[in-house]
Amino acid sequence: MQTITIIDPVTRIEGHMKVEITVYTDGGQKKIVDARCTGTLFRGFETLLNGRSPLDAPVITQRICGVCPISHGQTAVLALENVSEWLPPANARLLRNLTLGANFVQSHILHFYLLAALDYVAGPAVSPWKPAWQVDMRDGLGNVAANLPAALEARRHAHEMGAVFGGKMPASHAFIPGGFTSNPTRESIDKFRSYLSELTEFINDVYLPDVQAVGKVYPDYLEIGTGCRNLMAYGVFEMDDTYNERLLNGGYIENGSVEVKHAVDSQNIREAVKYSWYSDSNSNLSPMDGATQPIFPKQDAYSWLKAPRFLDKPFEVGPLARMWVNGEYNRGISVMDRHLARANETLKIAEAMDAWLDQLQVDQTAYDDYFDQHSGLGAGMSEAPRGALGHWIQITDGKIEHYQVITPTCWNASPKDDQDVPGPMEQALIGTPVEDPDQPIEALRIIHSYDPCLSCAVHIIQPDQKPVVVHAGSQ
Amino acid sequence: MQLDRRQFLKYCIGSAAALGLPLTVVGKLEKAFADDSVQLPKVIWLNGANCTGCTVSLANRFSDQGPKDVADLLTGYINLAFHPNLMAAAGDLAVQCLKEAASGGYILAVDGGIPTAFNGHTCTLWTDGGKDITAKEAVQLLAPNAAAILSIGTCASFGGIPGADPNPTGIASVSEIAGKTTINIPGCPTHPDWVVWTVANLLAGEIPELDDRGRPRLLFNEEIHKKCPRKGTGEAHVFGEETCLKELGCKGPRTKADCHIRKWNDATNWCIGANAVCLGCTEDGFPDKFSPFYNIEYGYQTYEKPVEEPPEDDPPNSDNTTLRITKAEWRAENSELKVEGEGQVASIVTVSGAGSGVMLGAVSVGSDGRWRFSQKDPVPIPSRVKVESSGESVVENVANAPADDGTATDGISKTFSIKKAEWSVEKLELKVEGEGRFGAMVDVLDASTETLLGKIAVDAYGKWKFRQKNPLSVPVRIRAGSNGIWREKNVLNAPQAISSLNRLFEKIVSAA
Repeated sequence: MQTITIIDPVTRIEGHMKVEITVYTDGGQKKIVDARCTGTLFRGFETLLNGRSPLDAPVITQRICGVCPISHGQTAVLALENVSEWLPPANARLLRNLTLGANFVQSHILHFYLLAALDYVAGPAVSPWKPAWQVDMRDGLGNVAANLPAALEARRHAHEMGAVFGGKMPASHAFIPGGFTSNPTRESIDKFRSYLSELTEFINDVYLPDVQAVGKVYPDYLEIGTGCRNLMAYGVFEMDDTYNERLLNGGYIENGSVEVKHAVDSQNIREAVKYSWYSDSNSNLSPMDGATQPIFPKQDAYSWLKAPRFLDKPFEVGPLARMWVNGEYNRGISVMDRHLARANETLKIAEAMDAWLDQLQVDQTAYDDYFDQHSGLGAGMSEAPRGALGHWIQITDGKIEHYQVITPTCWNASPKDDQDVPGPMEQALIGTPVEDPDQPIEALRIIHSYDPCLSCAVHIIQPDQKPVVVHAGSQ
Repeated sequence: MQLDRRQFLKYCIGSAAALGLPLTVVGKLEKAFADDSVQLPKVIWLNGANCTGCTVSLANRFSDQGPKDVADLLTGYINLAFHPNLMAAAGDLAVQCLKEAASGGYILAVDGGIPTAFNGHTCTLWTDGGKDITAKEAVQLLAPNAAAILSIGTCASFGGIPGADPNPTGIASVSEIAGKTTINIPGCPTHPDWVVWTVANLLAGEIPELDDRGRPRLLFNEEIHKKCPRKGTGEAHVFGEETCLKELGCKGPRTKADCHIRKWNDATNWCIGANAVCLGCTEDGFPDKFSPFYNIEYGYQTYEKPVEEPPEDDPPNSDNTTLRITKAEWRAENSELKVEGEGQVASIVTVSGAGSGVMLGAVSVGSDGRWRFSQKDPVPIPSRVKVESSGESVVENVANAPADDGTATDGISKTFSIKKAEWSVEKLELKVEGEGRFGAMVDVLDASTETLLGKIAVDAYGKWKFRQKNPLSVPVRIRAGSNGIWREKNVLNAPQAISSLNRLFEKIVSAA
């Protein structure tokens, strides 16, 4: 017996998403045998960037996502600077790291307490935290629920910390090619540091223990939701002026190996479109050559997300991937491993921020006259909280001719590719036992472990067609 | 988590000034909450073509007493029945919450613009009985019975960034789709205080007075520039300067908001406070009205280091001359160039940069046969100076001159620019204008052929204006340079075909 459950809306994510799972019942066992992940919002950022001044890119791309705008601002300036292979002064590097780091801390805390935790523990008995699916909610996590107000305050403070140098959060326009607009002062450094110590304490005393507590009550989730077992990171947080060393370096692994390969060459990234609403002539192009010719409807296609592949394989990106390729977390690949890696990464970043504060020079500029060029190609490869983020820009006669963004959620929530290989999230869902197909909390837990950010997945659209089967009920 | 109404009122009274809530509104809130039988108003929140920045910003709400977080406010004083980013329920259960809320009284809050392309299917919000419900349908369904509609953020209010040219998904504002007035609380993202202020008004039974763009007039009543703390403090020409940012492109003069008073993130800082230009994000027309955001013409600022090599024909210092340099040094601590020497009594000595040729100034020789020249912030700081008097000239190295890595000559790159390059068909005249350092010579060339069209000096106002009537060919692009710094600019209205024909003509002529 087979049923299809449509979870629409998938809530407690950033953005708009629908997931369709096929649940097969055999004897008493119910299991997901097929999964399709679809984003349901398309805005066309690459189109509206064309013809604009390249300096507009860091402003406009920050509005791809309001949870990780700083990552887009950072990656856009990196792409612009890459056109002339320009490296900004040390102060700029540090101020960018600090502001970006503040947003990482904010985003991870927000994700665990506001988005993911409610899959495992009941929130306050008022809307919007009530009603909820009443399936497999285990006891023993009262503390986690009680920490919600402190977590809300902590993430608000993380944004205040980011505004100290960044000016405003969530979006900051201190990010500019050539450097950073604001200058550090003794007072602002002290203010940042005081927020940072409070937050580091929160991560150590509240956030990490809470994640560990959830892992203890739900130990089966250390084996559920593994996915494709290929992990990739571009790397983030430059440690010195050579720009060759990052706090979390880039690299990749295949098949869950601990053997890390370095140098992620974006020439080996391709985007397949067999199951995406784009012309097949656009298939398997690298980001710099990527074209976006929408075709809708199209046989077999079900998503406006293209299917990014590296070395022709799907790759998972995110905190687990970053921590894994840097040898900081190798316990396993699962739902709970993602939450644990994310919490551990938050601590690692917070601790590094303290050192960056010490390295700031109060009397030195954070901006150098930027050698822009009226034509050229540039690539910015960095990380958002959710994983590897790339911006590719082509400038002709001082205007943007071509702009391409591949976001982390495009990797994670991608549809099947030209070889019919499902994307990482789809793979993680397939094979998972489900208690109640009408309330598939197991699927929600897997989806949330990736911290999906669907606004980022710019190529998405919802098919204008009736779904295959209506959910629930018997065959 | 839940705070009582008394605390909320105490907060409103205490923070009325900071939040900007009129006390009359607070009084009405008091009355409204006095009646315990009054139900908390339900709020249905829809996500249009958004980025979630407005919800994240809302979670950053300022508070020094009373509700600590927007969650307190929203759960204690309104009933947030449906909000996809926050609610525990998913799928069908979430849709059920929505339908229950919609069956009674509710406030509709929307963030994100509403796309109309593909009949709205670039943004679908839920599945109902197997059918995808678009954001457009959702707004049309819920707007008629809403007690009030809040368009949160610039996208919902006016279309915003997804609606920017060429508006690929046909974004419309919420009020256009709803067919009714909405209370527009713009900002990209919006400021949490603005939303809380509006909600507090609604709880008190008041719809705030709106301006001609549907924004609460009290919140968006004056351009930032009018009372900006940086007004009149000098003009920043380079990022990182802590003065007025108008020259860099700040939109403060054209943007109504109170960011300069309220600031952001619990008054931690604000855009201009971080030396970042205001983008005009609360205005109808953002971003296209203000794009490009920076007053920097991208890609036409090729910067070449000025050549500080001694010219080949420098006359050697002869023993027979009376003109001598006894000292030439650069004082970094007070940014001063000092050159001293000897010469013919009462004659004039001119001092120039030996490599750049820039004349720095002139002094007369005193009765003791000595002359002294000093200048603060010379542009460029020469590594060698040349002094001339009565036909003689002497060249000398400047002690302690900064290493010639180009950064010392920042001033030139800041001040030399082409502001206008235009062909006038009626007058048959080429006009090229710009700014530079007084006294510098500007070479004006046809960028494609590198033919020199002419030279012009920069006037006392720091401006240069080059005119040429009836040029042999109209250049499509101008290249102008001064002291080794070159800029380029396309010529407005240049007849493209004619110039290329002219070039062809030249090729034929030279080949003949």
